[in-house]
Amino acid sequence: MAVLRHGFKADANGHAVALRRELQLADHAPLCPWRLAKYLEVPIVPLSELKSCEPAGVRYLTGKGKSLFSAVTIFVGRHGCKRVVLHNDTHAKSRQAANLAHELAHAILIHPPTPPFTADAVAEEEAKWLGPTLLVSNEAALHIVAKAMLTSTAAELYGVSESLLEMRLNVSGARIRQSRRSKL
Amino acid sequence: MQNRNFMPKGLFDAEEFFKALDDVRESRKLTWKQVADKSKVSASTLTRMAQGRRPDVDSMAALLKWSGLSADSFIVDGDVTDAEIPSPLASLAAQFRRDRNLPPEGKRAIEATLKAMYQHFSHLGD
Repeated sequence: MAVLRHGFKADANGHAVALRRELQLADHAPLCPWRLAKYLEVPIVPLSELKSCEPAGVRYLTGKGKSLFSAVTIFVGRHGCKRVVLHNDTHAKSRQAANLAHELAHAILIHPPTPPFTADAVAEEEAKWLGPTLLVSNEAALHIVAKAMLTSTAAELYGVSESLLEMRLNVSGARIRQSRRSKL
Repeated sequence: MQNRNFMPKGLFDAEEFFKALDDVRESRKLTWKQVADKSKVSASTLTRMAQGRRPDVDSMAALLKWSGLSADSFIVDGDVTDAEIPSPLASLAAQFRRDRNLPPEGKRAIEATLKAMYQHFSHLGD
């Protein structure tokens, strides 16, 4: 597993907060990845939209092979650097949100393209961290813990899976910080 | 009064500008976040520029100042369209997130779908 550079996690939360502010949202507010994509001018294409162009491939990836494909960024344009995100819209909405946030993390960090079926380990690790941080910022995690929200309630509010939410509550340090606060 | 139809048309090549910024960034060994911080241009503006959006005047001035590039270098005559230099299908590149090792039929389905998508959406670069 690639190691994130020093300061990356703080930068990631900086992105999550800055983008919320640009969208006139509170630092702890839920962030809709579809709205974020529109703001960043990254077109999002649901897999089902390609049914007429590639019936067999789409049928497989939305049926038997549904679990094999989450989302992908392709690059078009004169220099091949304009992104278009294709995502599997047959997945649960919370998983779609995580998949889109992951691809948007690549866009925000302006990661360069890699050949199909390969990945830049560092870029992947960065997107793996930034994607969930976009959806549940450190401030959001603290807000959830401070309000003693049920995991299921908070997951629904933030449009994420319970496992993603739990992960963010743990890695953001929100629970530790809240327990320290309540001891004061 | 000058006839607008005969005015020379100078256009700012935003994609070339972004490429040049990337070269400067790499030569200075900076991340895009650091470019945003140092130039005082938001990271989201840089992402939109990477998507082909022309920067607003203030962002462009800030990026020119930070990079030391000259705006004149990116003024071109006539229309700059992606149609002039179409991206070949063979250059299709993707950041692909795999959930697990793909069986051959899965790989074939994804490749076929990506090719269909590329053909279908290549106009987005226009």
